[in-house]
Amino acid sequence: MQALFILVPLVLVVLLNLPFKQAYRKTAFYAAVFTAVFQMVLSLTSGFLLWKNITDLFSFNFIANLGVDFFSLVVLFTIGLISLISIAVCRSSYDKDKFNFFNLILIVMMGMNGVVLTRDIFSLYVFLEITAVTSFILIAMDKGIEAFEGAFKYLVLSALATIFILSAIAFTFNAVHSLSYTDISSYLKGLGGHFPPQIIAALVLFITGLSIKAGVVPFHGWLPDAYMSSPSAVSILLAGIVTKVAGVYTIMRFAGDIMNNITIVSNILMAFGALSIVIGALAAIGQKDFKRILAYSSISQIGYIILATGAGTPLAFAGALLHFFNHATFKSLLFVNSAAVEYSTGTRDIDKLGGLAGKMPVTGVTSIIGFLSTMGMPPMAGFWSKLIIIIAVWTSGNYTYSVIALLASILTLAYFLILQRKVFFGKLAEGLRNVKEAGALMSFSAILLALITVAAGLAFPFIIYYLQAHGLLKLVIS
Amino acid sequence: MDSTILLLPVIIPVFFALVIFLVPKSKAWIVMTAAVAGALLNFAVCLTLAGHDMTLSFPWIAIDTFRIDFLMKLYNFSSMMIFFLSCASLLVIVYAVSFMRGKENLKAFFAFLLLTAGLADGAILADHLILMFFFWESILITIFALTMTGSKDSYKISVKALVLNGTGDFCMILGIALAGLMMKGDLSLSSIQNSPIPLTDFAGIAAFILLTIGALARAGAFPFHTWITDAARESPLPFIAFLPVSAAKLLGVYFLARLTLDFFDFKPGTGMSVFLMSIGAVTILAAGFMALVQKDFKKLLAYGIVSQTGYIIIGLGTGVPAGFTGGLFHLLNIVLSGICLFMAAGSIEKQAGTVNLGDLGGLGKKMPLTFSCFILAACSAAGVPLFGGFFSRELVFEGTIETGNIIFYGAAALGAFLTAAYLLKALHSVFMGKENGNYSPVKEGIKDPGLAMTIPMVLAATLCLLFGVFNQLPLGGLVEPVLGARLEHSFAGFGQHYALMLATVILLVLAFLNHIYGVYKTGKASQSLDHIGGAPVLSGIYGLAEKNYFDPYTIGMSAVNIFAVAVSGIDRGIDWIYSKLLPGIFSLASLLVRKAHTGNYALYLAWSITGMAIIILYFIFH
Repeated sequence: MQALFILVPLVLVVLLNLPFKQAYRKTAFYAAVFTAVFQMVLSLTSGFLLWKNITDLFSFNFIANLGVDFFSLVVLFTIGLISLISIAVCRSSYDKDKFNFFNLILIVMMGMNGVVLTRDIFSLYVFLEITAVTSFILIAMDKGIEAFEGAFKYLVLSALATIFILSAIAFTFNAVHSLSYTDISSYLKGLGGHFPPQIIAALVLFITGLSIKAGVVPFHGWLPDAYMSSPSAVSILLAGIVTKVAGVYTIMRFAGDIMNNITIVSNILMAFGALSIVIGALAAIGQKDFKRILAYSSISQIGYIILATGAGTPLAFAGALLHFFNHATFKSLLFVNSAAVEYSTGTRDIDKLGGLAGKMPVTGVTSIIGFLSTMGMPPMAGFWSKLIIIIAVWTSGNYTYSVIALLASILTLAYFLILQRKVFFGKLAEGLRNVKEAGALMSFSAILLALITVAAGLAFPFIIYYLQAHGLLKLVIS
Repeated sequence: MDSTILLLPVIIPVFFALVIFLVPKSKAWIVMTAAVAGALLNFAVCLTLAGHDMTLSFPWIAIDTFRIDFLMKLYNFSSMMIFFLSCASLLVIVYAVSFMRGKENLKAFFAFLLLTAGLADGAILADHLILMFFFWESILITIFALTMTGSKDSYKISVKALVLNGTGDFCMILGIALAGLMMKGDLSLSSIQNSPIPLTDFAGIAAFILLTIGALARAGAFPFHTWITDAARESPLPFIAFLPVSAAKLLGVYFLARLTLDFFDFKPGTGMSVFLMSIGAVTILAAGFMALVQKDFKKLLAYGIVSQTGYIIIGLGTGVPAGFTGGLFHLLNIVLSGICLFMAAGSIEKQAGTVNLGDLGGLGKKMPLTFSCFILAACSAAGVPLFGGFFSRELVFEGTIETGNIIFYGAAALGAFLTAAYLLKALHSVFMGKENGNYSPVKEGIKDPGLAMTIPMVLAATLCLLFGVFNQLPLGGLVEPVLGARLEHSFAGFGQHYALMLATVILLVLAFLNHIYGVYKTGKASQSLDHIGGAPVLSGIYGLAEKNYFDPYTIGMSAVNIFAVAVSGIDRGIDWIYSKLLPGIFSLASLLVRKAHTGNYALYLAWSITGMAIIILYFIFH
């Protein structure tokens, strides 16, 4: 079954680019939508036996060893969901060649699925590269100077990360003589905390490389520019899922599966996580660009996930996983809102906006839901994941980090209020009298994500209850 | 009865709120019908539940060893609170159906009002601190949304309400964390009640103070009151009558009462008792003095209500049965009289088109029913003998005497004088004296408003009197069971402390004489208290507060003496902390961080390398 997640996008990309593709260029949109929806359905229904028997027909291991657990299923579902939103926003707001975009999104989905499913670090590297290279092209699709600058910044730091990761793989292979997660994990366990120099080198390089991919402070320099300068549909994809899979998911796997949450790695992750929470939120206050605020806010929220990953208890890991999903939905929602505002008014400068709530009610209301979830206000989904993270960090004995995580919510409140006041409330800014909502697909995306945010918040205890009853949450750490 | 019925007081209002959200804007009559139906149904359920004891419990969240159960508990205290809350929301909604007709934000107003009622029921019934906080914090959103339903400039007030209440909630979650630490993770209210947290060590005291701040912020006590007085001017009146006056007050006081009574080992005469009573005394005096000089009817009442909250806090803070009973009873009385006073003010606003005290006058003859209701409610608020407010306040006085802290009795007694003074001023300048032409009344001429507005007003006013004359009903039936075995004898009836009562009567007479003197001196009821400005100690207050009223930036400029600065300055000064100082600190930090992001790529690379160096160093020296 796992192979399907990689095969379907791969086959579709090949089919779309056969000779005579001019004849069926228009089908690219449907191919992309099909892949995204198929992925969501497949990840949700993987437990059903009959369905499993059918999909298992495709279980030939054409590449490396693939594995799937509850954690990967959640991430795979999120990839499908956010890709679908990105496709919808592209359809309604991107006015250049959409054919390339849909092809690239298929490739990037394949890359991300590979990252999630693979169980050895060299395949991980290959899929990370597929994801990264596709992302460069996506960011630079507009071909403006700004777009190239953003893509270039991402490219250079990402290349650095690639070098680090590849070197780390070399060191690891030299020491362990195997690249599969389980072998490395049991080798490290056997060392009993006394690492030889080349393992230390591998760990340092691996942590640094993945932190660059995740945009954790102080490795975050590329992130705001890349998010800001790319087309809206790409920003949603990058902020919503690509960075999260390439950086955050890999760090979670690395810390939990490979490193077995040893203290030294945990401490580093928690320190960088807490730093990201504070720096990201502080930088978000006072920005003038709608998307830039969201970009820094992403750094801050990713900090929560990394902090919880560092804390390492099962509860913390559950919190990290839930925040992973919640952040993907509510941050994509806010990026959809910014896309709608930019599409309708032609600007993202919050000083030039104002009073849009009356003109764009869907965008106004859904953005409030998104921000309330960011702040961690009940009954939104973000409340629960943040609460669990804070409690988990507290009970793991790291009181200072827990209080920092709690205090940072105030900073979140600050940039929320600034943004809401300047964009949606107050007097209607000049020249915005004829502004309308940005179209049905955009509103549909915003409403869908807002509904997920509210519903996940209200039904959260029942979701947890269900997962617990089926023993699924234990799979978070295999 | 099956205990799942406990979910109904939450589900019914929330369901009707959702229905209202879905109704199109043009169908105002469906909105109103749904609102009244929701409030009535909620009232019926709360009435059915009254007097029952039950608990609802099912597993809720469980991850690893972490576990939160969904616990709700109905017993005499919580059932009294939800019953009273359902009465208040029913009265306000019926009143608002007429008051809000034709207003722009009608739909959002009713929907969020019902939502607040449902969430508040949930917070009161919850028997687990996390569950309670879930509801409690959700109300923050509805407060924000409800303040937004006012005029176009409401955004600033909404933000202020959000920040003040958010600060309180923030302290509260810290307090919950500390309490959780001391209770070893068991945050069920019943288990805390079984082994109250001792107030002897630092952690216990810190937890108590933090949780108390949370409760006080919601109840609108000093220094968390500034948004209420601002909102009184801008927001639709039924909102004030519902949220700051009833729902938030009931909720905040309920939690405060549980803190002192059940959760902590709270004893009279301890430091924490003095701490609470001090906050109460400061609230009474600071808000009372501010109320004296208001020119705006609604703002005067808002300060008055804040001031009355001080009595409840002093009463609960005494830690003795008399004070506690008095405090809770005073809560019921001020909610009733507050609702009635604000409804009267709303009727005036609707009929006369203004609430400026200087422009009104002689309306008593034209609006006899509103006038009578106002008198009854004002008598209860001012503590005139035989009215509800009199008995509750006497009990608070008795409690302060019992703790031996005469100074708090002094503050409370001075507050009684102030209350009578500003209510007399309002009464005289609005309803009595000569009619003033400075307003634009409704076309048909000023008269009592329609039935939908008068019925709730008359009901509330009648209860103000009944709660006094038949005080064994609310005292014996509602308030005293809360104390249970801790109560040695009932406080119902006329009471025993004749000396205290005599003192109160003398204070009321003094206030009356003072008023007459003021009117005689200035010739105007609305300026009847201006002569106090001539008194040597208070001379600065009025000039300052009045300038402050017109132009807040001149605070401190005309300070004549320290007392004046203290009273007026603190009110605005706390405002300044929220609106200038804290944002200033954050902006500075934010500016530094932003300046660091120059966009220079070499710098970003350098950061990354530094980060890596830190990791290497950590690995080497670990």
